[in-house]
Amino acid sequence: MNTDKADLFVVINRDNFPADSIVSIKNQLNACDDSKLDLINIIQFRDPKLALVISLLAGGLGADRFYIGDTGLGVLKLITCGGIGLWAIIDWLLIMGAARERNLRKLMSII
Amino acid sequence: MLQKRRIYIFLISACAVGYLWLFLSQTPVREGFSVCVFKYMWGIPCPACGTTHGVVLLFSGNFSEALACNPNSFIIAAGMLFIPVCALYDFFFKNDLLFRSFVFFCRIFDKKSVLFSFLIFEALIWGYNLWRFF
Repeated sequence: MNTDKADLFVVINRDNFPADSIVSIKNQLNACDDSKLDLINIIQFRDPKLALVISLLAGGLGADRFYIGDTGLGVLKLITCGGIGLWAIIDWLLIMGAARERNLRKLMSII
Repeated sequence: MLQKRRIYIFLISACAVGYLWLFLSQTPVREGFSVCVFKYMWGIPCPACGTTHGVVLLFSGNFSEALACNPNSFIIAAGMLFIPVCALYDFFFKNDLLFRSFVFFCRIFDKKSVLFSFLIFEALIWGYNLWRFF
């Protein structure tokens, strides 16, 4: 991929990925061919900040886990009353990282 | 491998917390105490409210009362029985049945039709909980 395009992608999506993986993403984007660019550009990444807001407002219902795509965990969280409250509170701290990890996995499955 | 280990730790600790919570729920607490974060924030019960009482009723053999309390009790009770048995089986027979069951469970809910049916089911339970609350 063109270096400018890779830089632009990284600048736009910096907040959507774990901070320690940005350099490796950039290197992998530089190494991959242009045909994958269209695919990468149509991926909808989950916004970690929105995931946190959802977690704060409706974490007890598992809505945050549903939002980031962890459907199984969302179901478990929903039927256990947010993991008897504990999991809902722990997820306030973890959900942004989980959303970034999920985005990274999604990107890596295409690169 | 690491993910498998994390899933085992998560499921076994969740189950242990569940049993601990069941034990603690037998001790008297002040009127109106709830662990439901949703209820504290919004002042209304969530779809899972009443599950603890339902599981206690279920383990003491009152199936119809447990169903009236919260139908989710059946899913939770089944999980609380299945997880320790499965974990012990995996430990002694060097298998990964619990991990495979969890992956299967997640894959089932990845299907949109299953997920929407489940969410409608939960919405009905929520409606019932709200009706009882008001």
